[in-house]
Amino acid sequence: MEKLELKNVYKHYVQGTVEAVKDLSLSLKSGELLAILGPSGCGKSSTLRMIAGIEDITKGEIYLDGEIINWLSAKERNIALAFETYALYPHLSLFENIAFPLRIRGRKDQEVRKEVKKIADMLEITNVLNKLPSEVSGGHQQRTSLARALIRPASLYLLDEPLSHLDTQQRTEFRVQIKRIQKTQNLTMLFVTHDQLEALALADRIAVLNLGVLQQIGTPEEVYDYPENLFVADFVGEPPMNFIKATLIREENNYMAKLYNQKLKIPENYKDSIEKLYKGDVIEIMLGIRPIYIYISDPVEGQTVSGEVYVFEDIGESGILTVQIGDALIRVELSPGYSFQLGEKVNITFDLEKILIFNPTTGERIKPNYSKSTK
Amino acid sequence: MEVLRLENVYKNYGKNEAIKSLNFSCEEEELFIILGPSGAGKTTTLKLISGLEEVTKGKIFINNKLINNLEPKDRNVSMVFEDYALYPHLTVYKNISSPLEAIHLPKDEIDKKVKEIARVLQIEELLLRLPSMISGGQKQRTVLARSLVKKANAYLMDEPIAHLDAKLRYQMRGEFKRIQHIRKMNILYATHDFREALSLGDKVLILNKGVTQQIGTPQDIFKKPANVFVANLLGDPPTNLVEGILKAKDGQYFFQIGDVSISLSKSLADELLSKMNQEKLIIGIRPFDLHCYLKQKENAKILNTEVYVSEIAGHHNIISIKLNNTIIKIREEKSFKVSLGDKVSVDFKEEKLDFFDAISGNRIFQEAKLWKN
Repeated sequence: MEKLELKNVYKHYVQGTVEAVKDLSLSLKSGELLAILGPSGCGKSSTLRMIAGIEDITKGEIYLDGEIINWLSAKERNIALAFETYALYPHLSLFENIAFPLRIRGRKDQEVRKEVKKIADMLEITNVLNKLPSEVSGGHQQRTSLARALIRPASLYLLDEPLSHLDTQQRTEFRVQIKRIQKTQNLTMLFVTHDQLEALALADRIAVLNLGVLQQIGTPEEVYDYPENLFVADFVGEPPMNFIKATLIREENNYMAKLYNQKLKIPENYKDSIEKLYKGDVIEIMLGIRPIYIYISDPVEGQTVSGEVYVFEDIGESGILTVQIGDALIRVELSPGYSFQLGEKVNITFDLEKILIFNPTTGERIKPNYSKSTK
Repeated sequence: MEVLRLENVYKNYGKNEAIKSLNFSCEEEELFIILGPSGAGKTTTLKLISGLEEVTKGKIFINNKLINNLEPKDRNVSMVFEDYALYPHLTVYKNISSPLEAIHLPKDEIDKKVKEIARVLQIEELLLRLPSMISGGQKQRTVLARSLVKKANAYLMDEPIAHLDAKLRYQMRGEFKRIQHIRKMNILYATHDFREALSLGDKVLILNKGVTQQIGTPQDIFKKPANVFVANLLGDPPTNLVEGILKAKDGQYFFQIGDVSISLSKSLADELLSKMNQEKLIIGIRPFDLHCYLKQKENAKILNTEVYVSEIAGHHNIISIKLNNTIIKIREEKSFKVSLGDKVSVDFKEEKLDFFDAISGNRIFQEAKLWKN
């Protein structure tokens, strides 16, 4: 069942001069965890605030549990919120901060204690419950803010950059807790983040926004392996995807991508879509390939290019090799155990199944005729 | 030759001991890394060397000359600041030459230095362009050229790329490593990022709360962490650390973690027993040295355990299991898919294990002759 649905939603500020969100449509199923991912200024926070009822919707409709909520106040929407700025009551203990949503609903003290203990255990803040917000770390405040949001049943939980104030290690630990709680309690959750690693790790689906426009919505795998355009391809993944300018040529019955006098075979299943593009003249394309889908191997016809080692970095759990071909630098991620000398000649082989082709003018991905990537 | 040496250096701020008994030395042409979390004392160390702060106790030598009492300007060390903005109205050349013009070097000398660094960084052909006419990577190289164009006894760099976004950080790290290969400068580089330390360092010093934890090559610190702090600082996810008890039963040896027991070979157990003075110890193993199986794998070290959570990390899946309240992370290929609650077996090779004293946290097999390589 659709829990939340946005239909053609717009948000304008300053009498229409700033379009923060443009024609956004997306929906969220019950029990789903959706991440809205994008750089700052992409419209993700505006979207969250419109759903929460903190900001007006300029145009479009938002439905919660099948009912339109455009005109309901924030209080009237059955939505729980946890903000990046914790907004904790400074004079109340962490315990009372968490208990607050239950207290104002007049729940019995015994019940309140039980519920607070349960959620505090899950978020590992039981031993600091008696302290004031000012007496604990930012990480504990963030956990408290989340506990306060999660303590009461709601149709939807909105989290705004929920891990932003934690250091890397706390972040990975806390991420696990959030995912556990969301899955075991079957909560419907929407969170916004600028951190693609966080979105990939946590979300069932990811909506990527840029400049107020939805770029793609899909599972982490879809977004990672089949990005719709250059923006998504570039924004998601670490180390970042390689983009290589190449020229499209036709040899006999095959299409090839030519880069600095070397040729890569374009897979058969691209034929129809390439045919539409190819008019016999020089056509530039942009190849995209993730560092992990390039290998060191003996040359394979149409799949291998050679270059020189620009730099090699051994970072313990993997090796990052950067290869120079003409002006292009191509990064390859290898398993541990490799070693290279600067300037050494090296052959790198592309996994053609994983190579992506983009129209360099529009930035759109050129899709093959079949395979699951066409969905 | 030794370029820099610190002997028994202390720095106190009132009662707070920021640096305790710091000893290290940097050889010529070495990139020496100080790695540690925030509050470790990294910046303080750089400030003591540059002269921006005074040492409380101890000696600092540059080129074998005691410099404790020298003014910052007389130490000829260059503190590289995090400044990544190029002047948009100046050419690449003028951007690079600006630090030299500020100290009024003769024109021909400036020209020589700018061209030399530009050649190393492969931006020679771009010198007359404006920043708006070059690519992102070329801009980064221009920035790097500008910070390195001025010769110094040593360059002190405090988190020079930490605030860049992930993409530029990858790029700059590579550029940095390459230019150091070619130009061989004396660099002291502070960072909290283990990837930078392992990638760039000739040697790495690990600092925590002002106390040195380990000094070694990147290989050393990654493969033979001196203690649990170091083990936990390196890797993403870091090494799994679990406390347990070494037990013998009917001539068989086990490592007991709560109600889970993992069998150990006799030779390993014997060696461990000869080094231990109590039965408790901590084992460490890297997430990529653990392997997860959906079906019951015969003789797997950990059988029938439940998936606590599974997360996608780019091209890997990180699967968490729980052993006696400790979360253990396993790095698997992306194609290996499991859901929360699935039963799995987990296996690993015994020689991938590390052992630490449960009380001191120190590595048990200290010597070079480790039972694993």
